[in-house]
Amino acid sequence: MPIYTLAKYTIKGYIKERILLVVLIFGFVLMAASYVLSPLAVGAQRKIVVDIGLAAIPLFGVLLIVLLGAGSFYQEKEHGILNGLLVKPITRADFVLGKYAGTVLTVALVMVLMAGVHLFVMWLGGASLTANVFWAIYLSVVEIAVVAAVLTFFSSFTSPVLASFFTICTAVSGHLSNDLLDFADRFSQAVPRFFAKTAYYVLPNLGLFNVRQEAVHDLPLPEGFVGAVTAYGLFYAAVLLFLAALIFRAKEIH
Amino acid sequence: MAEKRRIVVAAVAFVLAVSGAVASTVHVRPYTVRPYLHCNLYLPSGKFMQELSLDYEQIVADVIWFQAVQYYGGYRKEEHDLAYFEGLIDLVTDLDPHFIFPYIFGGVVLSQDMASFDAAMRVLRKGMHHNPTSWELPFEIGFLNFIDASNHDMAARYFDLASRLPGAPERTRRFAAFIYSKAGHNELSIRMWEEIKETSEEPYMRELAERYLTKLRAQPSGGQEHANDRI
Repeated sequence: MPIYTLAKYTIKGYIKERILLVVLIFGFVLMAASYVLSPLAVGAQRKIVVDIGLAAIPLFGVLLIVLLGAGSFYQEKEHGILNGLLVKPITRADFVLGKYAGTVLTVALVMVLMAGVHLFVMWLGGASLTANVFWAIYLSVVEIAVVAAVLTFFSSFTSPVLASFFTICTAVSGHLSNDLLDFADRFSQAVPRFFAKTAYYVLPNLGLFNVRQEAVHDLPLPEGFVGAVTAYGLFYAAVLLFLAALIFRAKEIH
Repeated sequence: MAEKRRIVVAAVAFVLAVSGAVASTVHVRPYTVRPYLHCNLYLPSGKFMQELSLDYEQIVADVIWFQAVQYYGGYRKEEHDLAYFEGLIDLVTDLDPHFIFPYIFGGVVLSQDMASFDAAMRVLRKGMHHNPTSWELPFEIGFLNFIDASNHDMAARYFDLASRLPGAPERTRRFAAFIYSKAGHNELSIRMWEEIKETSEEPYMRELAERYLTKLRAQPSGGQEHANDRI
């Protein structure tokens, strides 16, 4: 129950922030622009509409997570709200999970709104609404849940600026993590190979959540792929939230 | 009074700033417009761009496709030759190997405008490798084999292959049949381009077909009525 109350409180706090509205408007404009731009893309009119929309949804999702989430812990500490909250029958783990749930739900809501606009633009552009388009949007939301967990983890022990910086670095390297495995195979010495492999398993494999190519060209997805990737995302986020709660519990709050 | 003066000063400063911004934009414009020749000189490899795009290859491929079309437009306006065209097509298709149209457009331009039949075949075969169920690619290979290389056997084989793939239209079978019947080369080429002009959904492709038709008709044996009679 405290998690639900905290999540609700977090969502209310975010809705008051103008940044949410600005990002939302910018996302809508970008997707509308894809419809305007499409006649210029010789032979790719429908493709460009689908591409821009499917790329904008996770991109703006990550942007929102970083802009909204990083300051969240800090603001409460700064305004003295955190001390007030923590004397109530709320555990620190409840606080971390409540904040995380609020952030993910807010950004997921924005992404769903953007997806609605995108599907409408696709329909206007005559592109077919295949199941893979919906899976691509769904997996983008799961990806955001993982990125939000990364941010929550870093926010539990660093400043907002550093938490944002580390989250962006993790998101970027998460999209390159498959290369680490390739590097590991090419190293002849055991130590660098070990480090490359460890980094591969420690970093989130965000490339897994990208099925945009399959959505754009309506290519088949392997059987059970969406379920397996969802499970991976949820387990990965759970581990990070557990660590964040542990760190936050051990932290002195003044 | 002082307030009025402040408003006037602010307004003058604003007008000056806007005029300065506009004037400097106009002044620097010649430095920012570079011919496409230089823009594409340092084209990165597909593998590098894949890494750089961070799983957003589709959108990067679209941007480069825009550039490739502009580059071809520059050639049509006689601003440059097509030296970097093949590189651009390779880059787009490395980033999005399932994007069919660049293979087809690239194949036609490489073969017809650049007289580089081998390069056209390489691009189209790359497309077939990534998209083995697409009928458009073997159809295009057959078409160029007939038009450019006069290799009737090869053309017929590819038209036949195209006609067996999912979604292949009736004209693929018709083309295979035309070639098997060994009709006149130039006349059949006209007929084929006409078919493409009539059936292609892509205006740019129709415009290309019209252009090549004009070229072919200007040649001595390019009589349309004659072609129809024979077919």
